Amino acid sequence: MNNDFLQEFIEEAKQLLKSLEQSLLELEKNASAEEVNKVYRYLHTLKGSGGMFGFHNVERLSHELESVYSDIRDGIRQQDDFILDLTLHAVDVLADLLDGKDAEKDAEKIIETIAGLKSNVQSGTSDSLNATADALNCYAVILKPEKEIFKRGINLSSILDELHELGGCEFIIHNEVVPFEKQLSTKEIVSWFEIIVATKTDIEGVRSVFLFLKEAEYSVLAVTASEVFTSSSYQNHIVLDPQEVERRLKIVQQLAPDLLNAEPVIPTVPQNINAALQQDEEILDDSESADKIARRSKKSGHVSVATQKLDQLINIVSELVIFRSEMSHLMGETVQNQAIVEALEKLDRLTLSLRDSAFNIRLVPLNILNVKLQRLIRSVSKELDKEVDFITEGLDTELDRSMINALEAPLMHIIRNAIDHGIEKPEERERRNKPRKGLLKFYSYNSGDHVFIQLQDDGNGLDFEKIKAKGVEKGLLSKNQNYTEKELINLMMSPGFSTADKVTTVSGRGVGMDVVKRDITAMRGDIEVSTEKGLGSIFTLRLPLTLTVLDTLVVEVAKNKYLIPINEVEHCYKEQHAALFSKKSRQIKYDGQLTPFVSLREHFSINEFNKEETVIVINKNDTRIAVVVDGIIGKLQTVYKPLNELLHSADCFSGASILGDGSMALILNALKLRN
Amino acid sequence: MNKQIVVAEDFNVSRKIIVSALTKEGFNVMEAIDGHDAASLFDGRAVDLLITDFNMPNMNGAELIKKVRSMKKYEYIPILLLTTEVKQEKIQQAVDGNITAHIKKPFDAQEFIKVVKKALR
Repeated sequence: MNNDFLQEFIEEAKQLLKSLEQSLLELEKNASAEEVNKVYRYLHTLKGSGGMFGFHNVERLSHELESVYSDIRDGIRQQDDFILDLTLHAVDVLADLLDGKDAEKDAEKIIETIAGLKSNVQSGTSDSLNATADALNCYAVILKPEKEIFKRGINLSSILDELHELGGCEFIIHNEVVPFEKQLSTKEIVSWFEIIVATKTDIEGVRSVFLFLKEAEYSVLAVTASEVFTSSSYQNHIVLDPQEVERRLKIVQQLAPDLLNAEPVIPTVPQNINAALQQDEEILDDSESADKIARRSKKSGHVSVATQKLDQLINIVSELVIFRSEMSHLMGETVQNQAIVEALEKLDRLTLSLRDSAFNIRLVPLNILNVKLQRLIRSVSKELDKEVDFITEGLDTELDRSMINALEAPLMHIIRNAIDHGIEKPEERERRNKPRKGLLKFYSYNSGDHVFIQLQDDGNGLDFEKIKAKGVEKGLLSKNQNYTEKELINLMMSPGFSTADKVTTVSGRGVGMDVVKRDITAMRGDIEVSTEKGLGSIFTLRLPLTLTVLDTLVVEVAKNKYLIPINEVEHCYKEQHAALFSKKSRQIKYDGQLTPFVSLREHFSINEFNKEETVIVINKNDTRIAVVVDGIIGKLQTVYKPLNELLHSADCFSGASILGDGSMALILNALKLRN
Repeated sequence: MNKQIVVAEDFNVSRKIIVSALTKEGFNVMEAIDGHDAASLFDGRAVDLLITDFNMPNMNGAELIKKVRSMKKYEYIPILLLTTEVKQEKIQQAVDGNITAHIKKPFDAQEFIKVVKKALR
């Protein structure tokens, strides 16, 4: 049966790993019992389902991890950085295992490490009652079954039997107005019980006996000290006078003679984490925590759909949009009938809103990057001995899925740079009267057709002197000339520029901001940097909402129409044919520079030319080329469609689109025209 | 004799997973494709456990449970209700005091079998 569900299982397990990762990062900030429990639960589920689908390595690894977290939950072990690192690493290994990658060795290593951890705990606290496997634990159980418990199909006597099976067991029965045997036979329970159990199983084992009971029907308390019977949780059920307490202690003594002599273990939350947490809280309060978003998205509900299906839908919708323009084109000139005109307008509106909703489906919140970024920040700041607070706002801003994927690398690069070059070491920061911890803020918001993402750090800001010196050293700048900040920033983003003093593993690998810039431009986005020396820098990315809708300039060449993405167009002007073609070299002078041009007529081997030509200067990724066409027809928002494989060799076209009149036009990839 | 379990679930894939998991453990399983179908199985024969979905055509889980509980022979048999998280409260009200436990879908097979075995004790 399993094969049918295998793919589903893998998807689900991966989702689980993501939640696990999220919880782990949450745990680092806030070591709450609830979060530990979540981690434990995720691992537990993973273990169970992994085994069911034959991923025995996944099962084993998650089992080992699970045991670590159950120890943490029960206060036997303390959560620390080492465990966290180990678990995060394990998350990666688990993902590899699910992908069928060869990660057995890594898994083995982790399991060994855990085994090492365990022996530590055992030798370190072997005299504590919880850690020694064979020691007897003692629990006090308050059992208050509902009167009609049998009606729920729960057999009370089998529960009591199960308790007996756990080990030594003593019952104190209350409110036995009817003999208990009678209550059992009439299936009406009026009594309630105090039960003292001495057993080798842990508290979960005891609780599992009451699996079917409601929370209010029972409670299990570990008897670690005599105070248990006078504790408030016990007194919620029954207040005991000293004599009564004595009686219970005697029972404990009988069942587990050595128990109350040993020192009790008190589970504690690591103090430093607690303190750090309090500091963070203020800041976190007004920022949108990932948790909040997660909760919101849970409420709204999600369906996961194969991207292929989505693309298909988008395609159909695109065609509908085109067909709509065709319709209005056809009807617009001939139809006089008011009713038809109105109907057309309605169709217009509907198709447009259909298009918008369809594109919206492709949009996903930036939140899905959050965990990755957090992990990056964590590992980078550790590696560089820096302390960084990461604050996010607007993670629910949505972007096209493909954009989010493409954004990952540049964002990571900017963050790496910010931590490596921007934020100073803690000691340095203290000298400068800044808080020890650096601050890295991630803002994003929508504005019109664009999404803005800002990354702000409160570090040192860009060091323009260093940039200039480096530029001079590389022969890119002249020593005696003054450069504006903008020029220097542009230089920083030009290929092959890196200011790191020494090559760290973090940044300064020779590929630097130029790659970021290139990636962002490839998404038809912009990047802007503003900086203040000593105070920090802000990187602002401006990105289009989606990649499939394109603003284009429609040009005409020999009665055919071509499209040029409008963001690439720098300048248009008219020129006499004779003036253009007077020289042998196909170059024009633009902005003081010689710029090559390509006449499309010439390119397509049409040897008749117009007297007056239109020149369009295109600037793509700082490379200029001019294209000579017959004329400009207008501006058009089109839906981008990729070309069929057969046309891939014609790389001077990047895609195609359908015009309002139903005819097709190719989108020019001007830079490729030169070859 | 092996324990007799009735599984009522209209969604075929889910039902088959459950049935195959139970059969593997050696239980005798009777399948029902909706509430009505399930109710017809409670005809006086021995049933040790009912596992039922909530949302089913032709008599939902709550109605089925009510009907089963109304028969003397099945007054106290354990009943496990399969639920999804949504509308938890509504379901709770409908079956409160009549079922042994909820099993939240999707569930882990090991856990599921554990619960079944416990219910059959």
